[in-house]
Amino acid sequence: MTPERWKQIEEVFQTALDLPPVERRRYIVEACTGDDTLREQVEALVAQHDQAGDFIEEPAFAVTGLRSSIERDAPTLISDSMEDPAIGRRVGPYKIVREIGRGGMGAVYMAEREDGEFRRRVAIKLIKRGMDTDFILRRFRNERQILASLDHPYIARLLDGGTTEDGLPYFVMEYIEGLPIYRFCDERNLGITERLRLFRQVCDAVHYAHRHLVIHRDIKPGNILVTAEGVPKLLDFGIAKLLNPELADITIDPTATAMRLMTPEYASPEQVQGMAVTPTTDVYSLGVLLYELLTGHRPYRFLNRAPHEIARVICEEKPMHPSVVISRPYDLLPMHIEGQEGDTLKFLYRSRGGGSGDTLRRDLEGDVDNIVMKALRKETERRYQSVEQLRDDITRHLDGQPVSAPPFFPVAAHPVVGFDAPTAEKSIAVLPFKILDERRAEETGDLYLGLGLADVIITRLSQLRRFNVRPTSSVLRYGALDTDPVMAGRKLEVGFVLDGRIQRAGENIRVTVQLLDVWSGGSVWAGQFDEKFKDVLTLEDAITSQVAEAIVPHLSGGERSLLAKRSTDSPEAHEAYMRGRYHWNTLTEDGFAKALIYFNQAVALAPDYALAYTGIADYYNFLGVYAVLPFSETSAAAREAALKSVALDDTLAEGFAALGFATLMNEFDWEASERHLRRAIELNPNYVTGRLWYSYFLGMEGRFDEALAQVRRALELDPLTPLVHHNLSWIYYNARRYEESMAAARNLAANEPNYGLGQVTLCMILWHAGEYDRAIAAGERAVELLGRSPYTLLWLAAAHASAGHREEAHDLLDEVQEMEARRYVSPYLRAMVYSNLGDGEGALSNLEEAWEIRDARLAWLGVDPQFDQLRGQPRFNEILRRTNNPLAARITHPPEPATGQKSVAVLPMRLIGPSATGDEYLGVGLADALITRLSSVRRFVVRPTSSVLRYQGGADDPLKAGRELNVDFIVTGTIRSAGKSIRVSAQLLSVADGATRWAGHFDASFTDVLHLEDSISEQVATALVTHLSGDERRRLSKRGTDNAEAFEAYLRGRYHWTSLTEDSFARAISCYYRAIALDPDYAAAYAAISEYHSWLAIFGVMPPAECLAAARDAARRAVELDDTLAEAHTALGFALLAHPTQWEEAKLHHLRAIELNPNYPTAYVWYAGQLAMEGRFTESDREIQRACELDPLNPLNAYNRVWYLYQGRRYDESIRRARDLIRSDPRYGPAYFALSWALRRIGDYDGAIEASRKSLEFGGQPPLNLAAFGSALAEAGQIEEARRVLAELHELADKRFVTPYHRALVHLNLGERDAALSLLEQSVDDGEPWIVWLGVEPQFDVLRGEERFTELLRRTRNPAYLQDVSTIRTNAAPRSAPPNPRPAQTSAPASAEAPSAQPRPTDDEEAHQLYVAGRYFATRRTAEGLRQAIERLEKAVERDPSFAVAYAEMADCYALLNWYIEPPPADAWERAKEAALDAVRANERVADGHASLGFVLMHSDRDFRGAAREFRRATELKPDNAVAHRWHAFNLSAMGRHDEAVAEIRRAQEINPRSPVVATAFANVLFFAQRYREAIDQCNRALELDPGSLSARIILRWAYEASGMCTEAFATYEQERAFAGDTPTTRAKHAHVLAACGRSAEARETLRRLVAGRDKEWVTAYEIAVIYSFLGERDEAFNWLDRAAQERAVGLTYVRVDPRVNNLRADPRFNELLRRLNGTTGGS
Amino acid sequence: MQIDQGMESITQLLIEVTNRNSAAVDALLPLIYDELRSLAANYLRRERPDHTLQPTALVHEAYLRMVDQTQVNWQNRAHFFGVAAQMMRRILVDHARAHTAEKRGSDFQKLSLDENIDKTVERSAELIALDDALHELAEMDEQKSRIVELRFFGGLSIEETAEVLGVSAPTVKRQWRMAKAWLYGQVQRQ
Repeated sequence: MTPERWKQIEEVFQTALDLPPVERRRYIVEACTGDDTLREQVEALVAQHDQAGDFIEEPAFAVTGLRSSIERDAPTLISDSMEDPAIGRRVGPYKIVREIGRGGMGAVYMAEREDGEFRRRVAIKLIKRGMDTDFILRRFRNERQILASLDHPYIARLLDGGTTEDGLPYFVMEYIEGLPIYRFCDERNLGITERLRLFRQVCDAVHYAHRHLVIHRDIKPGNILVTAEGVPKLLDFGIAKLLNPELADITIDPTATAMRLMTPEYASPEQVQGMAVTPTTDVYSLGVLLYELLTGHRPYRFLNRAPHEIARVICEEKPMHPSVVISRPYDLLPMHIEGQEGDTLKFLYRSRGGGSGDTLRRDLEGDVDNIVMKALRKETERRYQSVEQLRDDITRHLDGQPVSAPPFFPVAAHPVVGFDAPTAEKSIAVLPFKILDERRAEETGDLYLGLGLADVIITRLSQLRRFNVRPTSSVLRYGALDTDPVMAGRKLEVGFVLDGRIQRAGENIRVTVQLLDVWSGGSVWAGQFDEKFKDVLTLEDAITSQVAEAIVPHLSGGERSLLAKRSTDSPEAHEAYMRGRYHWNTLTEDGFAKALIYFNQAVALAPDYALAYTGIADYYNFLGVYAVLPFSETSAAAREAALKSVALDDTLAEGFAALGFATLMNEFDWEASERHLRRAIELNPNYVTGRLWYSYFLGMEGRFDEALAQVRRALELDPLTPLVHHNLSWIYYNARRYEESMAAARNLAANEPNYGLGQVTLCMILWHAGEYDRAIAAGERAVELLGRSPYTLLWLAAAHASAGHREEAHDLLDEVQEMEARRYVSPYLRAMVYSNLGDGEGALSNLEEAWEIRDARLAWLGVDPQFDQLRGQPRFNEILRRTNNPLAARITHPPEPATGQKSVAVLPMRLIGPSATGDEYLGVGLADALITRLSSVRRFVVRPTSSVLRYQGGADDPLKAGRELNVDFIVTGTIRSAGKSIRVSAQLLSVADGATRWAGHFDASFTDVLHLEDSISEQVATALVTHLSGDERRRLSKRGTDNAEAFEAYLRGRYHWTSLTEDSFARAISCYYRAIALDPDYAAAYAAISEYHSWLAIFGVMPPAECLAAARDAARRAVELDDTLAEAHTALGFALLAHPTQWEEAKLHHLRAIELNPNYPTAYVWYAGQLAMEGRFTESDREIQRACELDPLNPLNAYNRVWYLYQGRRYDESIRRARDLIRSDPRYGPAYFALSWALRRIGDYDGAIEASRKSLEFGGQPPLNLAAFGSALAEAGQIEEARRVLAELHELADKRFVTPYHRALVHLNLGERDAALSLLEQSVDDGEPWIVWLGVEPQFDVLRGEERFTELLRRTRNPAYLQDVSTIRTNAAPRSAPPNPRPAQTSAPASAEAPSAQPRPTDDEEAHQLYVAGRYFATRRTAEGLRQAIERLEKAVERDPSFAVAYAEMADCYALLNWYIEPPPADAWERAKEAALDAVRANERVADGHASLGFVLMHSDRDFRGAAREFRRATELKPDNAVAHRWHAFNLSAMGRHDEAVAEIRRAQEINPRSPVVATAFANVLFFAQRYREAIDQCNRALELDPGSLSARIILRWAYEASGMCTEAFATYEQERAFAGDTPTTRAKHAHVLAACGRSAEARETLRRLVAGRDKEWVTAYEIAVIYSFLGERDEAFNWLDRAAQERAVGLTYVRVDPRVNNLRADPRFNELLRRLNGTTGGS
Repeated sequence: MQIDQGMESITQLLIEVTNRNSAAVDALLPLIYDELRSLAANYLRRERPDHTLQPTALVHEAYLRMVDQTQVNWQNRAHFFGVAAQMMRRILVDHARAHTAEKRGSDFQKLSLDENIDKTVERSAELIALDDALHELAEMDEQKSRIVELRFFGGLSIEETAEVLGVSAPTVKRQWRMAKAWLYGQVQRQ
């Protein structure tokens, strides 16, 4: 382009832009008359201008600047896209003209259709490659009708869709000319009211769509255009669902993909969590839109676009109120960012009606705030429930009426999520000052100045307690000239850094200093000081005071004088001191020596220089630590110097610290030492060395917790000094917390590879862990670093000794021996070598020698693990006693080893390291995961997570924890996380002797946590039991998921869950959802979700129906995903329990859970619960006891035991155990709750009332506890109070869910039986979980026998209802008869109308177990399951040949084999019949036997009449036998008696309304009756109840086929294929649907192949006949029907009524067939 | 009070730039470039991707560090900023080029698992595209190119930009919108 052309374009462009948008086009056309190219170019540029948004508006450094604008999906009107190959292409009947927008899915084009004379403009959305084309199109075909029917003035219509020639899907939409809604509003400067009006129209459109059952799912400003006339038009309705069904459909969502396709700013919490999308989802997105429309601000701000970050922000962060956010110049929508901050807001206010910020705020405050915030609620149920409600509230506001939205956020500004400085305190690091001309400084010996000056400033600033000043040792490494001070500050974790430069010229010195804010990197203060060199003290004064002022303004007078305090007034002495410190800080022996010279010089120059004396004292103390000189010498010198120092200045912490340490080392005067050390810390809490010495002291006394507290504080003050880390490791070691010691040592060695002492500790801990080679390597490294001194050589010798290298150890001892003449050798260290050589005598004599020379190391003798083997020996005790160590007085022996079964507890891992915050979950989570895994090995018992939770954060004494948990072994560990990697150290300790059985260290990145778990669990297990079997290994290595992120989310969830607060539950659940979003196959996460919902139901937090349904669904999914997961079965059993009629299934799952993992206590808890509910109290108590043994410290188990005992009427025991529980935790609410119930039963009403009060106080579940309180009052005769409580409950019930069950109890106790019964009925209707107790609850004894109550009981299907009250009582063996305060309403004996009790099926316990197992396998509904079932049932009847129901079950299994095994065993029907007859013979009165026999008769013999007889008998014996009704209905169907069949199946559905099997059977019956529409409804119902039902889909497809709904039929077939995979049956289904839908050629081909391969891949002959019938090939059809008859195909049973063979009916051969089939027993 | 050697020279050079001494500009560039680059490197190392540090702050800081403020007037400052913007552009684009080159290396597969890195790559590519487009723009319309440089790379406000270029603020605004529209098209077509 030439500059001339450019100018031309600019002229038109600029003028056009100055015009209002509506006039621009016209003007451009006019201005460019005759020059189309020019017009196009200008138009393109204007379009680009309109689209550019925030493009390059944010400067380059602002990360969000460029990208967002380009990514934006803004289908605005025009665009120049000359290069786009799509332009000019034909798509369907349309020709693409130009691009109008581009987004994640593809691009949107304007296209035209030449239709004869008129031209039609459309917008075409062309989906980019890579989307699931087939799926989109299929969906589109399904949805097109609905979408095309959306006809609303504010909705852009979807016209068509299809695929381009090269296979890309596209959608054709109405073409809209308009501006995105924000731009429209801003350009027209619409005020708040006008914006609300416009938004209300948008609501109209969305509401309209919702009424037509279309949810938008992707509402965002880019999807809303406003025409020049001000009419909003919503685009892309329903498109999101077509493009991304994961977002659309409930449950699963592969998050990462889904997220990318969503527009995160407008996504709702449920969307990012992959939960169901409902109309309220659109409400939420509308809320975001409204928020932005009104305020110009984003409600959320993402730190990055990672899915988890988006999810976190959307699910957790609360937006600020609109009225608050408008005054913030941050978080603005990109187009509002204009120039300076002030301008920005002015622009924002101007574009909202020109008002000021105040006006705008007033407009938004109150109603509008509330409306917006209600739309934005995270919880769907608290949002507007429909767009209509939202719209109405806006209308009300516009009309000046009160709105419905309540204010729920405080109106005050929400605290801004800001970035705090690294430490909360004012912390500062003074870096060594840089000397500008180092070379010259070296010559003049001025190098010391940089560090020296920093050091004195540090010393002085440390005086202020409001400061946290990093000590000199921390900052040493930052002395280099090119140090980046800000980075140093970050590393040192301080808020501020003082960085200075020194220039010295002759007598003059210039110091330039700047104080930097580490967080912002900005300079807070800077100064330049020119002084005579003599005035270096003045310089210090100035710098310290100014720095202090800058960080903490307004220093107090006291602080000022502290700061101003000079240590000396002699500049020369001061210089000498600084030089001393400089050399000191080189931390070399040589440096120490030089330092001493200078310190001595300093005190010579100024004899009153206290600080210089502390330098001397430090020197000697450190020399002792480094074992350069004997402590006895060093400590004396140190003590002397320190005494001088404190005499000169008794406010100097340094002096007291040195004195304290020296006193201990010199005199073993523990008391005086501690006094001095404490004084030092008191004087200057920031003085690290003081804390360090004190931690030594405490460690030596065995006060490890205190010692560690001191070290930790020291670490906070000084994160980088190696000695502090060394000490940490050292203290841990002595505390026998080896794994932590190891972690600290390794950490130190890794960070400071050249730190000699670090290698020493590492060496020691490594040999302790049995890693001898590495220990020796570390020892050798120490020798290298610290020199070949007695000290280092002795450590190395000890390492060799422990490794069993006696020769090497002795060689080294000899070498040291030679040195002894010249150098000091610590006999204590030598004793250590002997001890490791196993030479107790040698060790003791060396220790005695150590005492002779007062080797100060003896202070460690009381705790040093190296000498544990000598403890208890008199000589050893004597030495210890001499050192005055207070420990000597309390020497104990290790506890005797425990005996018995191997049991292990995994303690929560302890998190260490600086980045531990935010990772707390890992400690518990990893332990939890290990527990789960280890539990799968049955050879030992593992304590469950709930038991070990109390040790969260790490047990201070793992062995003590082990004893408390009553286990033989303890697994403890630490986790250090740093960035993306974590390091776990774990060890297995024997509780008996404290010995480490195994220790391991694992480094992994965060994504390898799973791998980590593999290694740890396997190694722990191997250490516990040798020779793991293959099966055990397999169990151990079973991962819940392979997705590390999902695992992490799950771990987080477990962590929150274990906190057991309502708040943490909520967090847990969101983590679980995240986990399943990340890994939709994550069974354990589903189990956890189920568990969560069950608890909600029990606590009565929410209406039970929904919680339980959710609990059940999640549990079913879990079982489906992993049938071997005990947790899944327990969750399912638990969730099913509360669901009437599913008792048996629940029990099967409980048993299965126990079978899978006999170590899983929860399984026993709920199984025991179920037994108690059924009145089987003895068994129940056995099971709950098992749970308590497995998990002794979990109060929940104990509580459940109390509760079950109460239900079993063992009140005394219940009360006793409740009181035990309260003793161990006096604030445990549930214990009081149960106690109050039991106390009432023994007539202790006062006690009950008191207990109730306590449960209200601690329980935190008001409705339950309140009801119990009311009942207690009522029973105590305090009627008025009771009524008051009741009224309160009813009142509460209007506001929240209050369980009717508990209200019923209060009524009952007030003698109001009718009210009680009504509420109980409601409770049963609601499916409340508490109704499971109806059968046994003692308080209902007064109602038992009453008809209404019996009916209720019958409805709950509780097996206990079959027993009468007396049985329960006998069974329960009450120890104390319940006294009844009121005349007892006698309980009637079991009424005559009550169904007769089922006889006990068998007395043989083992047979019963086999039967239960058999049932369990049978319910799997697979051929294999049936075989397994039969195997067990055979055994059961072998044991008890009169076991009728077992025969019946067996008959069913054999019969069902005909459906599952291909081809079925030849004798299956014979065996089925035989078993059924056996059942009836064994006990004629068992309904199941008759039902089974009927089933065999109808299918095997087509003896419909005989079958009918049996079914009738079965239902007579057991009227609510749903199975018998269902089969009877089939039988009636087969006979063509459709109406009766429907009536019969309806009966089954009444009995079992939520059974998918019954619903499917219903559909089948309706299908045979040719009532297809109803059949489809029933199928959908079945699929709702069980989305995985294959049989429901089969019937559904048949019904579709029969109704000519071929698209649906094919879609259903696809689902069947997806579920069942590619099997012969699936291919038969394919042929079936092809033939039924008229695609004969394909059908024939498929069929041909099926028939040809039938000898290999069996397909039932009947189905082949059906397909031929569809194809109209009658001969073949009849051939195959004959074949089916030969093969006894079950389908033939229904051939008489099967509509699929309608083609054949007219043929005479059909009647012939029927006659032949039914023979003599033929149907009517 | 003595003046630091480096500070003195920069200040002096700035004064000379104002006095139309082109040699001074050449002398000034490497000095500012070095300072800015080290500052920028510091900021680019920062971990939080959202940390929207304004180049203005960077340039201000460089200015404070390098220039004796008592010696120069507003015009000098504007000049400094003008030069700094040019420098910032080079730094950022170089950085981006290095970045995209790096991405083509072996680790791409692994890294691309992290969405943020993808974004950075994407962004780098856009920066390079923008730089190319700016060169093209400069050929047709030098001033607009300058404006974008000052505002986008230098982080200058409309008013500051106007000061540096010696034109009025409304002019800058008009030029800006045209440049932006055109560049948007160019970058998007990449």
